[in-house]
Amino acid sequence: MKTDLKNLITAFKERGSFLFPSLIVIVFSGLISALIWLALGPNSSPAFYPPDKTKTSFLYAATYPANEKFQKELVQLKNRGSLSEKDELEIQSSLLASTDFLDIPPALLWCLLFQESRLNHLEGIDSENSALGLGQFSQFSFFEINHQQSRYRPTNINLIISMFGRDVRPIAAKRKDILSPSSYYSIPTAVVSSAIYLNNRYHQLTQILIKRGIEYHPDLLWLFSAMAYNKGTRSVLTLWNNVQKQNGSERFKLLVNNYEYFRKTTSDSLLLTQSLKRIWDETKARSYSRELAIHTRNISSCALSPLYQTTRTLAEVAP
Amino acid sequence: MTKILNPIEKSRSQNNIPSRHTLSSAQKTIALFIFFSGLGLTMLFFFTYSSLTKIDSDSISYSTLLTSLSTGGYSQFYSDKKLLRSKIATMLSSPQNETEETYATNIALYLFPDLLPDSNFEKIVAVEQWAPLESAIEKKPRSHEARLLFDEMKSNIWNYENPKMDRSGLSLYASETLKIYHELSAP
Repeated sequence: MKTDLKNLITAFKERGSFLFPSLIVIVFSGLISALIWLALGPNSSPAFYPPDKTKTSFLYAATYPANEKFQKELVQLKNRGSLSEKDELEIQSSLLASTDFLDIPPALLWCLLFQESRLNHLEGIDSENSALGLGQFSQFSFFEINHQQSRYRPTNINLIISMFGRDVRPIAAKRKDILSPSSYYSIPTAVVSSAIYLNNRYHQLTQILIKRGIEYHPDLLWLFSAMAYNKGTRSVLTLWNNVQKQNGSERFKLLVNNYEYFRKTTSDSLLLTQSLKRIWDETKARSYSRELAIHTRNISSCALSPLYQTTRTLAEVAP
Repeated sequence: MTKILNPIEKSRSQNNIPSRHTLSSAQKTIALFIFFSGLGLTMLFFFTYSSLTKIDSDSISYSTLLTSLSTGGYSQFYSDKKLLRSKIATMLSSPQNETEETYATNIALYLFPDLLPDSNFEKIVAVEQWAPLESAIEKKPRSHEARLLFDEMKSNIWNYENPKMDRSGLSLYASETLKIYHELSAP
């Protein structure tokens, strides 16, 4: 072995001026090619399977709204006086407390509330609308918060007690007593209730996947939960059924693990309409699929880290 | 060559009665006419009947269940529900087309979720969120307890399909299911 090595060194010494630099060139060019391939290759899209699934901030922006258009709109809301600094601070402090307690990505909840009401906690107070306040709650959202919490996680009730010092339920849209902690027009109550309702959607979706033994990425499940918050869990599950039926189980797993595939799927209006046609007639399915696609795009562009937002996605989004 | 006639033909010939062979061509025409008309009418009846049967059998799904509940009472309702269950089970096991599959899946989702395949993501929600409530209402119909269970079921279904209660409302299947259990739980 030693002799072989000596012979090789001798050979290098004899032909060293040519062979050794050539080898270095080959090795380096190989390395550079590999690096270029990794950087620009087809798998450079943000497909991710991080080992630590307890981290929910992988996909979400640390500061929000992440989209410049929404940032401008927020400034306009403040300049017009539609959102006071006091209300904004109260929303932010309640939001951080709730998201920390329930392990919700703060950017997602903020963007969901922004999308639902443009942070107007009195939205619909003088109207007969079925959906009211900061998180656009309906009578059935209230029913779930007030009477069905035993079905969900006990942390929900602990959050209410931790925030208000007692259980302030039943919560309702109390027009005449908007400052009462039991009124949904009160900012901390609205934020906490909306966070719980979103958390329940997440719990519902994750339980289904756990029972089926399907691995998922929590960040993507939060996006699906925001879709379910707005259009019902049935819309999400019908989409899941359709993807699984048409594209198979492997593709479905990709849908709950890969952001790029999630983005493509939720912006495929044909697929969304086809899925929702299993629930509603064609006209309603079309209109619902359009609304769902816009809602998902807006939430994503507002809440996701700029790293995961292509220029095209940003340009497509209209607040 | 003399034609040999049988005794009947011979008698016909002697009494100047037209031969059976002479009549047969006219009769054949009439017979053919009657045959094809009959066939056409039979086919028309068959297709009309089968389509009527189909409509009737479809309507058993919800409107008949509701009618049977208000007119025929619980026993009629349970018997019709049982019939519907077997029909939906057949449809789900071998659907004729996508429309039929969607129809059967939607009815199964709200009335017989155990019939849905395990691969269906909606099955778990239905089995947990309204199937037990429906059974409980059926066990104690028209009671205060049943009405409380119905309120919970209604909330679960609205939150599942349309949490904002917007203009789309509920799907036809969800709203018909709620009508049935509203009737069944009315104290």
